[in-house]
Amino acid sequence: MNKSKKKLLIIIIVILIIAALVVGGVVVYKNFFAEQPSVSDGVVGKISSDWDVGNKDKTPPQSAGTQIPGYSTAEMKAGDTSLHISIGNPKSNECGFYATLKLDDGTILYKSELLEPGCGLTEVPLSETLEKGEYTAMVFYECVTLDENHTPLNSAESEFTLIVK
Amino acid sequence: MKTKKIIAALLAGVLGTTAVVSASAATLTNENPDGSTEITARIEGAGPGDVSYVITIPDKVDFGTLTQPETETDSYKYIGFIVVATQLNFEKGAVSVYVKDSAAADGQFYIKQKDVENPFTISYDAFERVVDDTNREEFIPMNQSGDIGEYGYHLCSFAASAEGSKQDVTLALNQKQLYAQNLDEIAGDYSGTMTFHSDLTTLSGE
Repeated sequence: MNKSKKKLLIIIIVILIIAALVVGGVVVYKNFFAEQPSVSDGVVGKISSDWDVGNKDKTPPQSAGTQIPGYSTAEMKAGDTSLHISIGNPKSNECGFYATLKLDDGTILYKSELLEPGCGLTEVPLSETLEKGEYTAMVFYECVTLDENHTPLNSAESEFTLIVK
Repeated sequence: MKTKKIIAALLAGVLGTTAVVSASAATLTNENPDGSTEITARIEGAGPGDVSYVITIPDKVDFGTLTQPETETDSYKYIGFIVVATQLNFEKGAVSVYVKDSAAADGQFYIKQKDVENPFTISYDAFERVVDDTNREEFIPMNQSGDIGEYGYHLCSFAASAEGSKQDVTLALNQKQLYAQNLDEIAGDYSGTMTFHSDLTTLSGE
């Protein structure tokens, strides 16, 4: 083997080693170290850190104030112990939410832990089952500061019709 | 020369391999454990339980530092904000927005002294428009209209086509309420909150 061929062989080996290291590093990083957002779709009561208002092509613009989600209807079957409704705190907010799902007679069906911006859930566990019918319901968004005091801010109620089939 | 070409080809191969591995690692999740390419589509428009709209409300009611007037005359301090129809994902109907002070049983709006046993309370007026000293007397504040419903005073309605629309609101506090008060007793921080109620209604026939 002449000198130039030997040099070429060494370079090829070095490149292959580098390639192996890079590929291995990427695979290890992606699988073990990259932050994976938790996903709650389909899991009752699980709060996702990647919640959004559901229309990714129309991300609400950043603006002063607090963004509050609203609803038209929600549906479930009589006797169901969970309800599909997208409850959460839009990413652009700078406050926390405590969300309470309740009927207009005051019956509380669900109360969340503190939802930081970007957190929410889509399958809500219910504290009690409902009989067939139409109910006036609402999600009460109690807004608080994100510091340790959780000082109350302005709050909001999003009313909707809950249809139990 | 030949050596350089071989090295260049090898480098290109290495970079290409890295990119492919990076992309495939990103798509290999529990949702498609076989690593197959998943093509998804989303039909826009809110279904039951989805978010139908997003409105933006003010964070808080903060009049800043108040000043005790030297004479018993009107001395208003104003703060203004907007309520915005930030995102509307419906085709028919309108979002109605109401506002009230949940802590007040008399339909008025108040800020209250914090962290004292017998807090001093100060009332303020809410107008559904821009108001200042030059035009305040031309308008009746919502909280003096007598037109309060279960969820407060009707502030505005946003129709389906009104995405991005804004509703001006002005809060006006008359510092005359502080006249002749003992500053040692009423000094301190004050806070108050408003509750905004919204509902999406579809008119019959729509």
